[in-house]
Amino acid sequence: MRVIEDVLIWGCIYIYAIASVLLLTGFIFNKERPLKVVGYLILPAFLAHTAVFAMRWARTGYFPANGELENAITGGWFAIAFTVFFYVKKRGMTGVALFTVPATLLLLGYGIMKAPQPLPMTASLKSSWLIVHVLFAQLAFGAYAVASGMGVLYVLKDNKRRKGVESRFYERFPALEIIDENIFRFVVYGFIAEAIMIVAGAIWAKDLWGSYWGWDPVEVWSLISWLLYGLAIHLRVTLGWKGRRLAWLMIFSISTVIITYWGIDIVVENTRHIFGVTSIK
Amino acid sequence: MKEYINKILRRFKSVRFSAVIIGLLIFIYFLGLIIPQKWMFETKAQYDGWVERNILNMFLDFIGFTNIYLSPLTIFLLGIFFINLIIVISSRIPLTLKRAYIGTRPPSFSVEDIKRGVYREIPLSGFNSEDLLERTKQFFKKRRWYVVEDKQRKSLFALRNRFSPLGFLFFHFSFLLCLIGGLLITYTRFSGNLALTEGQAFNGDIRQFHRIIHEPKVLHALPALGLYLEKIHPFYENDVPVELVVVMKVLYDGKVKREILRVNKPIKRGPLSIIVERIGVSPLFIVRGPSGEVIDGAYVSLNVLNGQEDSFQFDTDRRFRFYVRFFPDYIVENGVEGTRSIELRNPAIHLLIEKNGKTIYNGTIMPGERADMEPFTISFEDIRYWAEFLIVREYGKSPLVAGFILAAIGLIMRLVFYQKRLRLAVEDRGDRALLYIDGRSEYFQYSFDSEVKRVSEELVNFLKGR
Repeated sequence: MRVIEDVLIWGCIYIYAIASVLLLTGFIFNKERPLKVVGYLILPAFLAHTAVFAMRWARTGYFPANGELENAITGGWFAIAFTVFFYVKKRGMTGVALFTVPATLLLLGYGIMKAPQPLPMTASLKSSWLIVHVLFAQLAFGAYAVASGMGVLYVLKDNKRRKGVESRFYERFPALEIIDENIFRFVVYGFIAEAIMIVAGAIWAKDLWGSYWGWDPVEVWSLISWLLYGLAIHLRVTLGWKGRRLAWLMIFSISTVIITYWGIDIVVENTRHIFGVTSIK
Repeated sequence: MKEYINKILRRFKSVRFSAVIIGLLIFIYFLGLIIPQKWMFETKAQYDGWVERNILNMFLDFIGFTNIYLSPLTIFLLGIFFINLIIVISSRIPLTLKRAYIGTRPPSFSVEDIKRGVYREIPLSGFNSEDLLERTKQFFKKRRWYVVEDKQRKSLFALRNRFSPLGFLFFHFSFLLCLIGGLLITYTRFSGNLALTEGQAFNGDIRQFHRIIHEPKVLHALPALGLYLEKIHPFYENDVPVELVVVMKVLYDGKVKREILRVNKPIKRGPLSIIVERIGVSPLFIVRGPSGEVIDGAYVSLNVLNGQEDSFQFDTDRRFRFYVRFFPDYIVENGVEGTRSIELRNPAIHLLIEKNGKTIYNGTIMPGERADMEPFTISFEDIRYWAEFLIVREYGKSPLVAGFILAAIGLIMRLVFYQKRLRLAVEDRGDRALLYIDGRSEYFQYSFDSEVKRVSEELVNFLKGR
């Protein structure tokens, strides 16, 4: 099982790497064919990714959220699931893959370098809140990643429009207004999921650490990203921020989510969200 | 003066003002991640040394940014945020109720009003306007739309997710509930660390706490609590602590109950919760005199389980200081002492004893063995676990959790079940009737146009009895 899992995960990494190259080639040189090939690659890669997710869960007996690799597997799964949804249901929106596929590739690559083999789950992670907290965290990441991907697509398509260049390549993507509305849809999705993630985390923290909120760097970053997306919703709904401005805001805002989920333990040592393996907590 | 107050109120009501405040709070929270915070320093002396290092550090300390989440500026901004929130909520109540059509009716309209914008026109033969209006009403009611009919003007207003605007009030009001909960918690919170060794009891005396973290600002009296720690069972898998079971007796409200405490499963009694934070080992050391008589002895709780060194002294003779390193599963490999695992299988203690600052013993002893410290000896007789508990007493959970739930409900109501409005009007044209439809949606007007088309097709099918 372990060998199959390793083969599948490396298979995913290679396919995502090839898909990323094809996506970049397609978008940089305005070629349709590489994007079509990505369409054929992404579904088998997603199936392999799903198998890795399920095998990890079956092998360890717990929801894959322990360590960088498992977080990358779970988080990447949601981002790719949304992308596959577009490939199957709304082919015009497949441009989001330009962001979601390379992002998943980098996360998996980082995870596999850090800790490829599963660790026993520490006592502090054994809580029924873990699934709720992590599931909604990764759902939020998936949704925000798609919103960012759409932001990139919007800006690229709008650049052509502004220059007055007629591009057959960009014609295949939906109208700017539709991309804009879909950015907002995914921001809303992510915002609600992140709110549930924060609340679930607070309730869990009360049982684990004795307080709902401890101003831990991970908590503060998640609050920052939630407030930022909340601000984006306010700006859109009440001040009418649309189009390029919203798209750029989305491209920028995803950085706060990536820092929250994967960046804190690189830059700070004083987070209680690193669940040590040599002590009880 | 009145004009001045109105001007301030107008400013506080504006969304731009809210956006600026949220932006500033984001910036402050971000600063908290890059400016070293007081709690990060292990001792006050270390912090003082950092402050005195340069003028910037002094300034940051002076303005409270080294405790940034409670700094005067942050509290001020949060105060402004909540004032803004209260003013926004109260000023938006009438508008929100109006948008949900509570206490008001949708504006009346006619075919001509619809024709002024983008609309769909559906000719339907075999209907007169009254029948058509009635059947159309049935169609929308069946699909749980809120429908208001204007028979005089032969028009129908259909609304999906009528109460969605109330979600705005719920979501923003939830912040106030969270604020109440947070304030209650802050003012009533007592928390402290209590270390107990297996077989040791806590009789409710606050002096037994070795660290008080929070003192309550109100409701100082704590509920009577007694504890007796029976046993600690840590479980490891590949040296990873996978479970911790603490068996203890809890006396609360005059009743004694045997309880099992685990990580993530605190013992809860009313506003009290008992959490196990960490564990360590307490070796039993006995000091004997030259003729073997016991001079002193105690289970000494040491923080040595993760390989670090700890030290202790006996009050009876403070000339001696004992430095301890602990090996739970002792092994010597190539002359180097170590441990095979962190499980308590073959415990050994490395002792370095100083007398008046001079080393008089340096060696490793196993249970039952003695170390020489002329003219005395110290023996390692037994070993038990100790646990450090975090005992918390606080009120405010109910408004906080109610706030969480209300926030989730509000968000979903407002952003998932957003309002969609359709205006329909009928015109008689001899043997047939013409149905005019236009629609507006919150947030997603562009894609709603295709939804209007789909609903129109479904309506036609319904009217034609398909």
